[in-house]
Amino acid sequence: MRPVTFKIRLTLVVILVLGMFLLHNSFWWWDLDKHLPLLWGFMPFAFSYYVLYALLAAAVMFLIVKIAWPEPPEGIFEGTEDEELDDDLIRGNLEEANLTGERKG
Amino acid sequence: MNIPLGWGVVGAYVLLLVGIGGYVATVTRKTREDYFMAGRGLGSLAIFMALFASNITAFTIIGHAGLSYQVGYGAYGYVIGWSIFITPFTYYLIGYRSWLLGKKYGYATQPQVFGGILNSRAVALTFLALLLYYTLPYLVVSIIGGALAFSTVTGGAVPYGVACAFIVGISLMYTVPSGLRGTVWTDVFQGFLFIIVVLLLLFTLGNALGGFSAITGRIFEYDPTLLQRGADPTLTPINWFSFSFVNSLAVIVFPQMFVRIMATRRSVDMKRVSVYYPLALALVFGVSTLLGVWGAVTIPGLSGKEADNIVPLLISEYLTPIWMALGLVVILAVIKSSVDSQLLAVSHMVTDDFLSRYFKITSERAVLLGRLLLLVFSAVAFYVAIIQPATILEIAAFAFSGFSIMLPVMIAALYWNRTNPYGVCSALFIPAVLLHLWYFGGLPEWSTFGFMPVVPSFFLAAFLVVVVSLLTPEPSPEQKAKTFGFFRKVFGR
Repeated sequence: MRPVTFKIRLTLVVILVLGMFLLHNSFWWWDLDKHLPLLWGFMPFAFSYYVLYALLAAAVMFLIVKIAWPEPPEGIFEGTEDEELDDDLIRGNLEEANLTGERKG
Repeated sequence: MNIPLGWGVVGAYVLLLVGIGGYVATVTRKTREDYFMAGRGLGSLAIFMALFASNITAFTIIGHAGLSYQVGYGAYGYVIGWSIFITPFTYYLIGYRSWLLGKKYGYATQPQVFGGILNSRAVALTFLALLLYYTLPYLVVSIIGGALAFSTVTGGAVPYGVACAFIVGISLMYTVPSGLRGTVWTDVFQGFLFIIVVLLLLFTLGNALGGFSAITGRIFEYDPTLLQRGADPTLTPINWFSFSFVNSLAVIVFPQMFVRIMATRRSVDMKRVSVYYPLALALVFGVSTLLGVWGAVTIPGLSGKEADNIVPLLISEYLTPIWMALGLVVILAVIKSSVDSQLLAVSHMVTDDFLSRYFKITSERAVLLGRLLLLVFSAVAFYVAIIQPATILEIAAFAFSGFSIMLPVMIAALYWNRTNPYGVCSALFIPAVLLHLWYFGGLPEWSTFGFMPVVPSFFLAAFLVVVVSLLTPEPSPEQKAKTFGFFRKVFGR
């Protein structure tokens, strides 16, 4: 089976984000505020909806981390080609990094 | 709050802050990387609390409770609903790719990252100018809000000017010697303090008002419209949709937030922050919402800005005076954790992205310059907070929108290798001009089609960065390879 490309993973992420945006702008559910019972005796639907939304947001972020947030490969930060970056835009930072080697941390 | 114990609580809080700053200063080296970036070594707890404490402002406990007092539970979703998800998502969307480039090429700020991706001095300077332009008024407003709250809670015992000097002065006492590491560790302390006191306040006040269910019962009797979204004319669907583009998208663009993400030690630290962040945001704004709505039925009749005092009023009406001191400490904590990080971020950017571009500045000299600039910006912010010029306050009123409309450019530069400096500069400049025209009355109101001005400005920025980039020369293959070749090694195709 062919591995799932990052483009497909990113497309899944976009779908998740759009879904969350839709759930936030769910005006068609606002009428439920009048009818649904209180959660735990004190949370009306207008409030408890966003308590549940926060739990869902954490779950969706967990999913995004799993499907589209790869760890940087070993050694990827080593061997920076400094000649490529030797412009005055980032001169100060590069000098600092070259002096201390901290950039490679 | 004029009780010795109250002043003792405030004094203990200040001593702890200065103590943390003093200790951290002893382990901070006089190098750029260590002073401005904490050696890029912030772990999970430090980065979580640093972002959280900087994200929470006086609005959370004062302004949001006031809004909830007026419009009911709908304020919760309106103000923070979309932020709960999208703010941590932007830590992934923008934060991770920028962090990767920072680790690889030594970038620390937005001018460096986006100027570096596009190899353009114009892009770097445009970013710098806009970020300073929006951050400085926002900083002044943070000081004004904090000083007003400080003065009000102490019943005028601390005059407004003294309160301004106190907020700025205490922030400087630990920020100047200890840099980013000092502001982060004071944020860890202030963030925990904020969460603990606010939760205790919720339960103590809830108990004093007869229990959560009893208060909600009173809301049913007194004003059931407080239970419904959309019952208040402020919360129309079009405003609700528009507000999704204001505060939630601005957070990652704030330079103080961006720099902190760049200073994270490992990718896994950022992942943890992104997963748990929604819960923390929902918790603190949830408490503020409950306090505001409870206030509407227990201390009714406040209108306009009076409603912003609802939390101090609830405390003075139903709790012992020591709670007022704790409340004051919480207000100071949220204000100072924003003020110190903003001051440091602007000093950092001016040192590294402006002065270092034109002068040969050694690492140690950069730290010295950064410290001097901290003093200069603090003095300017203090002076402006005292005289409160109308133009600065008007700019601050739409600073969040100004930050938000820079996001399309950041996304394009990090995800689309066809993005070029022409597209970026036009997409940064033209929507910013239009935003000003809308807010200062230079364009008719109907031209936003009923949305808040941020919405058309945001989509215009997205349109311009794509269309202008396509109509102008594409970046060189070497330039593309520097960023996107590197990303391909991390993300694959």
